[in-house]
Amino acid sequence: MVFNSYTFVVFLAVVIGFHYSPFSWRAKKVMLIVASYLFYAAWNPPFVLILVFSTIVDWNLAQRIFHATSESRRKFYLICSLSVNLGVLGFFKYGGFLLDNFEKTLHQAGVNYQAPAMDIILPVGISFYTFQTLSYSIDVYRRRLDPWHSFTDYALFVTFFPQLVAGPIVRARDFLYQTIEPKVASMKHMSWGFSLIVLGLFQKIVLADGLFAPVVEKVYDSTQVVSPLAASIGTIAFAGQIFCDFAGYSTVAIGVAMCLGFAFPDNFRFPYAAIGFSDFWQRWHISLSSWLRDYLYIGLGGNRHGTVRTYRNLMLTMLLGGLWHGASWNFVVWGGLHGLYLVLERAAVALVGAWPGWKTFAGQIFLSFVTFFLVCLAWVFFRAPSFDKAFEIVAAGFFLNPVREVYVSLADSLTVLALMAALMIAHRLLRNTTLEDAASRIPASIRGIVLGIMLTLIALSPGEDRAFIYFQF
Amino acid sequence: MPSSIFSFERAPDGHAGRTLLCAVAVAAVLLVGVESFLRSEGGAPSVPLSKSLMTANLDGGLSNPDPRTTLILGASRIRTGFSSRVFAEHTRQAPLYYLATAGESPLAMLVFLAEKTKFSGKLIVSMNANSLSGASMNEQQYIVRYFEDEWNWNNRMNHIIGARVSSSVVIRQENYAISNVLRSVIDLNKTPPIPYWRRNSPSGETFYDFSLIDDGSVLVPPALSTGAAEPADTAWEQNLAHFNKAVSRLTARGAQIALVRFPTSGNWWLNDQRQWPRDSFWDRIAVSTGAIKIHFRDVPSMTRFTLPDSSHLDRRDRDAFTRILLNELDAAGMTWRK
Repeated sequence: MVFNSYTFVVFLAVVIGFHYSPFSWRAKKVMLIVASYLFYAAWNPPFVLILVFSTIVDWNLAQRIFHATSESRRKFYLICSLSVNLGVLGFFKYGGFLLDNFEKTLHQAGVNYQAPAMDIILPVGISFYTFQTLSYSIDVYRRRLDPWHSFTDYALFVTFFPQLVAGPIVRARDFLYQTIEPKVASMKHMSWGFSLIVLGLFQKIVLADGLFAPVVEKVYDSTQVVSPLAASIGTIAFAGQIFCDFAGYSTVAIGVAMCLGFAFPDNFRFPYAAIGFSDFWQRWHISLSSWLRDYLYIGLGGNRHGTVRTYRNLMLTMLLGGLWHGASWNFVVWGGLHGLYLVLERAAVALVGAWPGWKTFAGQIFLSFVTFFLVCLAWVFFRAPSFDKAFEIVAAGFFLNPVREVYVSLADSLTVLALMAALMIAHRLLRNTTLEDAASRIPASIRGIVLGIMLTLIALSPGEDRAFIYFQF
Repeated sequence: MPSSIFSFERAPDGHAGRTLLCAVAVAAVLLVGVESFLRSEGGAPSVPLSKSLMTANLDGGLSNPDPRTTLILGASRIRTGFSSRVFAEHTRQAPLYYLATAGESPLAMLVFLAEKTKFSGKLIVSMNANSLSGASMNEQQYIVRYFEDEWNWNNRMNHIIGARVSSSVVIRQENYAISNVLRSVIDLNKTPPIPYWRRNSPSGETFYDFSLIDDGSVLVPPALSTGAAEPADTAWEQNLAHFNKAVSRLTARGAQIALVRFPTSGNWWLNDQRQWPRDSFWDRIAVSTGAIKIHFRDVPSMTRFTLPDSSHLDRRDRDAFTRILLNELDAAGMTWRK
């Protein structure tokens, strides 16, 4: 079930109705679990079994890790947890990809082998809930968290529908403590939760789907060669689309959870105002980047073993982070580019040091533009359907392609540029604050009018419901 | 950098109720205002021709036990030219489902119906030689795939609610979407016309009202000045083989299929004849297939209609055209008697 659908509106109304009915807290939690399974089953009911399997396995293994009497046993159970989770993820997400590459490698070596077609369907959100359950087992192993006493609470942590399919990736220690006391949203939280839902849907339906996506599709899905302007506008449009799509989803998720009385961590913090790539990754998909930092980068040694090892760890983390997004070399390149950016940034800071000029307004704006430009360059690989298309778009963007067949209209160009300029200015202005701080400085009635206009524009944006981009991951 | 990472802890204080109330009131006033304005200018609701609508129709057609169940396959010409009202009168309410999508070949749908379903009702297929060219096998594949992989209770329910809303209010018409308004204003220097000349019913049929366009001939394509007809290529031959195989399979289990070449005129007809001459292509399809064949050029009464864009019938002509077509089908042996 997607947030931008009629069925979700009905579903949410029923869930909120139950949640605020006079049942016991335990009954409400069970209801939320059932609702979450229903939400998940809206795609493919049999895949609910994987979710149940993952929940039961990690619940049991975490108990065993905690009660194990020797370090070797603790490690053994942790390896079991990692193997099961990554095994399931690997099979569904990377099975076809690995087989395909195995076939190609054999072919290069002169062996003509054709593997049977696997036709594996990817369960929606598997990467997200796998990372959530993994973090629970690892935290218990690292003795940062005791295994939770209630299986119901744990099942709710894994399945809670607002974050189930596309995050934010919620940590067990952030969520489980919220299940102890009955959750009731105050009027303040209900109102802000509703505001976030409207803002998120506005980002998704009006901006991402209505205004950015058609331009992106025209450029990236075309079989013809694009013009330099089309390549640039299409890529800038994708930068806008993916932000509005994904941040829109996270915002709705946070808002829905808030209406039910739960707190979710932020997932985006005005990323297009980032100055440099360390800054970018503290603002973009924060729940994933912090997960990768805590469980992978630090696990690999972080920055504790010298410069070369630090660079290696950064590259590995970003390459795996790229691969997390999907079984395709395009995502690996995207992750690799971001790894390279991070390494170069560190090297540059180490070599040149902090030049005072960068701290001036002009310096900050310049760095911000450079960051955005390089982020866009990486987005080309993220979005392009193939390597060939990605290189074609990069070549066209740098005027290296003499053939020009696809153009974008004046309306599309102006719309994309105006929206992105507005988005970047907004990010710049809000860079060192929060949306809530900004909202609290505006009178309630003005906030209401802005929300009302957003609601109107949502209603005035018909068309087929597009799935959120991050559902495929 | 703010210390809190939870929006929950930072939710703005004060007048939360007023914000909510104000938002709902503003949205209600604006939406009612826009809806009233569009209606007062003659705007009418129109349902988007989405894959959900086509899939719902496919689902309906396959699950209807009435042997008179009729599926309409093809592209925009049959969607605009075949009247469900006349069909209902003629057949005494035989079930009818539109599976025609704009500019797409019906080949994938036909092959799917033949190979993966037990459909044995009636099919009226609008086609021309072009419908078997190149990648035509893939063109309606997305509907087939959606039906097979994703058509579940959630998507059904979503479609039902969505179609209900779209058929009730004008503001959900795609022509008045913000993106289309912007494109129209910037690229054409005018707002989208109200009422709009194209309108879709919840069943998937489309009404073209050419009288609402200043000059219908603006839609006529330019004539192709050069380009001799190409002989049938391998892809076309393969698609013809797929088509014939599907028709044989369907007719073998009792389905009745009529292949109809809908009218075109002016440059559309000339361009088509240049690229796909009738004797080299249509006539070959007609000879090789076991379906009923009707070419509009063979039925004089079908050629008397004026096609403002040289490709589609105006909504005022669709009833008359459908009557002629149904009489021709009757004469050819496709009947809907119980």
